[in-house]
Amino acid sequence: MAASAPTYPALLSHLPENDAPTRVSVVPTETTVGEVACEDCAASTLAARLSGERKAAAQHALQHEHGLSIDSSAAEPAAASEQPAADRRSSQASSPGRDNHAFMPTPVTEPPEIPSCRQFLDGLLAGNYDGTQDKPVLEAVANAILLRGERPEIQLKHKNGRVRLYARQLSPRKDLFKTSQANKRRAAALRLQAGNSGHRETARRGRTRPSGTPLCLYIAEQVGLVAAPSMSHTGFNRWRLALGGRRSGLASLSTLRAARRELSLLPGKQVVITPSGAHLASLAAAIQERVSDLCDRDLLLERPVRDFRLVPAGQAAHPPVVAFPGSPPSSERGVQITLGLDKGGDTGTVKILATVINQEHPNSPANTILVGVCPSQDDKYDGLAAMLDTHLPQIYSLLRDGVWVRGVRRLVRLILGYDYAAQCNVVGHKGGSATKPCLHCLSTRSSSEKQTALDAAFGTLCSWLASLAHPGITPRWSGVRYLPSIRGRLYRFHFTRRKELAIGIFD
Amino acid sequence: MVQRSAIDGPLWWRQAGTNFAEELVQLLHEKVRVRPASFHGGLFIGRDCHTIGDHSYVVCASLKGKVSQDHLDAYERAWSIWNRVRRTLNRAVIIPADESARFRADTAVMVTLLKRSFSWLSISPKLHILMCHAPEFLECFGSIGLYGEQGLEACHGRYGQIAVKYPGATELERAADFMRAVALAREAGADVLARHSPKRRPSKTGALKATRVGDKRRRENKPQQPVCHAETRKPMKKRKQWATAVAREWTTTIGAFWRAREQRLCDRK
Repeated sequence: MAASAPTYPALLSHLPENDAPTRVSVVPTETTVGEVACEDCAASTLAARLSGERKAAAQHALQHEHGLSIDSSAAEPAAASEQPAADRRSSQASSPGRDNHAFMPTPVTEPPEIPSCRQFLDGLLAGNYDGTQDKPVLEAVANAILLRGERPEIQLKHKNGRVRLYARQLSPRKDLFKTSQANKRRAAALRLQAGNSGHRETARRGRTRPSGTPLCLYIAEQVGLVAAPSMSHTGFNRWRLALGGRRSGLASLSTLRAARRELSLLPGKQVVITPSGAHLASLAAAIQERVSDLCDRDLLLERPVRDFRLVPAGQAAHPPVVAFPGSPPSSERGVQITLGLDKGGDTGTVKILATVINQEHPNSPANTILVGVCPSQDDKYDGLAAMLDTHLPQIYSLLRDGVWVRGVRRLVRLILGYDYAAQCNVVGHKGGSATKPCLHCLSTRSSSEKQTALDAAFGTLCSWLASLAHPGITPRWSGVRYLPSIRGRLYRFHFTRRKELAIGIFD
Repeated sequence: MVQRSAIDGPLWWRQAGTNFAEELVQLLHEKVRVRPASFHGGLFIGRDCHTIGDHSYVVCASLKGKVSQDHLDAYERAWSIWNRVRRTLNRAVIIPADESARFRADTAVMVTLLKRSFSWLSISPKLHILMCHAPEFLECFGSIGLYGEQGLEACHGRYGQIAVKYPGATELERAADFMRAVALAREAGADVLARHSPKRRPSKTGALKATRVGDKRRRENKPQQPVCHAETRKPMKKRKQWATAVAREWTTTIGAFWRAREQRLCDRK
């Protein structure tokens, strides 16, 4: 048992740890007392070779002590043919010095005397091989005997004459195992892979990471990544060098600069400076570029519009209803785009933002289109009108021509998507203190004697409380919702003295 | 709005005033862990609305014994309805049709309940839009949160952080450089970053919450950190300022309401 104990790890190490459905164990099955003949004498060859090597090494050391050198160049080819592959590898790995020859067991000039199996056993039992240097060789002998072939049983005789019979048993492994066990198996597999590939990539804290596939980033994407966090080209190059230079898959600085110049010339990315602020040169091109990008990556989502009868577009047996004047009918599959502006930030700038709603996270900063940044101390009507005038032709062209989606032209539903105060400022509305504070209906703020006629016609903000209905709501909001119509209407609305009369005319 | 009504209630019964406002803001600070923003008119911004809604029972409990039972019942009911409404209002997903119908009913019931229970409450245009026009928009476009302005607000923060890094003699030039960088950054969208990053499964519901009493993640079980007196005094000062401002506002609001009501009574006589 003592001789066979070191062989178990060696036996198990030859089994795949991750995929093996069974586990091999060697268990004693039978114990007998008596003389057992040596069944397998094949170990004698190995023992003889090892004995010969030991003898040759002793002779070599003796000659070396006497100042003699052995020219092994002539003997090496002959010896190499007899030498096992493992020994050849060890001889190649060793440095070619004279001292190394003292530890090379191969140079033999005459075939060694092969002891019989009986002689070797007697010598072993007599204690001739109990030295420390003999232990690895004895272990190899035991492995060669015990691990050879697919023998179902192994017999082993102890010094006291007791004979034990070991049998190979296969026990099935669990199909389901817990996370910790899975992690151990994965780590063992990674160690094996790292050992097989000849190198291992060791990170800090002792963790071993497998070598991953190189990143596949287009140069345009790399330009975008560099531009997003305002990283300098020098910083990017340091990262590139740290990740292996050309092998990292990252573009060189010259390639990156050329791609950046090329991208900056696209109409959807050009920026113009006007007295009102910095604006995108072509809003329509930027939106078309974003929509095409979503189509290429198969990320464009359909956002059907229901009509007021809660019937999704395209599924109605009824004729399509045009929900809002100036917008595509609900049966049309359009692309929804919001355009918003807001003043904010410490330095006081008005930002204009466009969003394509037909995507997964339309409000994510990475998915929005910054249309303009206008330094301004206030966001009143005149200033906002000057800012929006830059983009109005583009908005008109968007609404007229639509955008291309997979080779098909689609209409655009443009929605104003900013807060109440900004909406009021854009259209020149007085806001919450106006007589008709709501942008979507004609309800008055509160009832008064001066506006009895208006109250009777459109109601007040609170008039629906009596009946839980809203009789005063008119489709005024349909005009407010869409920018082109509202701009034309609100220019007149803004400069009309009697707003109530103007509202009555336009609505 | 609901929180403002919580302050109006005590005044109606003349049992609380500025002290209650201070007690309320201290409660919100210590229990709910929210505080008013300095530059937004003393309002709670961001996710504080949802945080206060999740802890509305704390606010309701603080009103017990201070207002009439009718007001308290109406107030609690308004909170429960609002907690349903806000989830539909701010979720950036397509809302099912039945939830849209419930949203329409809830908004109408909530605004009506508030107006009838707290008659001094004025119907602002936003409240009017919430009740009358938001359900229509939701039924037509399927969502309200998708069309929000969160991207625009995030743009303000990003501009404030990054624009100073761009060289430029004037603000306009820096803005132009910022816009050029943002335009180029669109080439690497969110999907590019997610392409090679490892995927993580979402944790189980409630897995990250400390459910045991002795859990060390609970605030009461954590070791007490030394508190600087200056940092203690500053929030107290801010709370007093907030309470004073709120008390002044409700005095103006309710005073105007009572004056108008008395005027109408006098006119009828």
